[in-house]
Amino acid sequence: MTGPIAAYLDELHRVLAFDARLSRRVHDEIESHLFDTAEHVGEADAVRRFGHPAEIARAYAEAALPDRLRRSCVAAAMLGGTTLLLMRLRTVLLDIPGGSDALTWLDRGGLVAALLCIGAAWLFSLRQRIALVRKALHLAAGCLALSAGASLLRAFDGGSGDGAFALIAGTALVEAILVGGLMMQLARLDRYARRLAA
Amino acid sequence: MLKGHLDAVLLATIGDAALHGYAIIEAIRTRSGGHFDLPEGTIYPALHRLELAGLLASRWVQPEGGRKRRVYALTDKGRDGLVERRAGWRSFAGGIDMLLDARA
Repeated sequence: MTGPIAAYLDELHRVLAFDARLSRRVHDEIESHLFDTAEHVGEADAVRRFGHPAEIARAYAEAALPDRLRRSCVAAAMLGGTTLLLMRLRTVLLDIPGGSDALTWLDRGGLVAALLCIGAAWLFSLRQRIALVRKALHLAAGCLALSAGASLLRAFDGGSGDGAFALIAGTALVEAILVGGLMMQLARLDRYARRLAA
Repeated sequence: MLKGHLDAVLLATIGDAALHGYAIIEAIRTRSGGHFDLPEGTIYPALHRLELAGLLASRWVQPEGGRKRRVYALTDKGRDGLVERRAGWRSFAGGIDMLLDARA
């Protein structure tokens, strides 16, 4: 396909690259609109009337931002909740002794700090303070990784009982997957922020 | 000025129908007597935002021999949102009318 509409859609695809799923959706919908308009005014005018691709991409980024912020916060909250649950599960099932050593402090302190960061991110998301949400969630992810790592080391050190290794490995895998999910959400949020700043 | 009321305009234009973007833009132009000839590219991101907010639902339709189009319809939340926005607008417009008509 060649012509003004094809060139326009290519450019739109390029500037919407910050969200591949959104780009696919927008492509089909706007293609249909432009050809409808072109039947009356021709392709060149149809494209001109629609607006500059960079402005359209920015408008889409702004439109999707509240949802994107909410998703990132939900992903972080799920990770925080699951880390807490798995930490408790390991402590109970593996009969890990409590204590006041550095690992225990990191384990609990990291989780509390992460949950506070997630709460702050949620509040910032309501005001659409994207930079602060990103900072708070990155900090939360770091704290959760620290907490999960300390919790796993405690489990290896002090855990006992049948299937201890399988339980530790299984819960570590779940945490790693959730951390990966959160990092993907944050990477997408970063791309949105770059588009809005462009 | 219209930008601040774009959501209400879109929800009211769709109403009880299921319309695609092009038809929505045409309907706004026609029903406003040509007063509102919106930049076409601004409508689609606004529709997307309303959909993400749960006020609209969309689906693809393709009539036989026709072009595939995404059509939008109001959700229950969207209908409630429209009622709220109508009331808000009438209150606002009533206040402005009173101010403009008032004599010093």
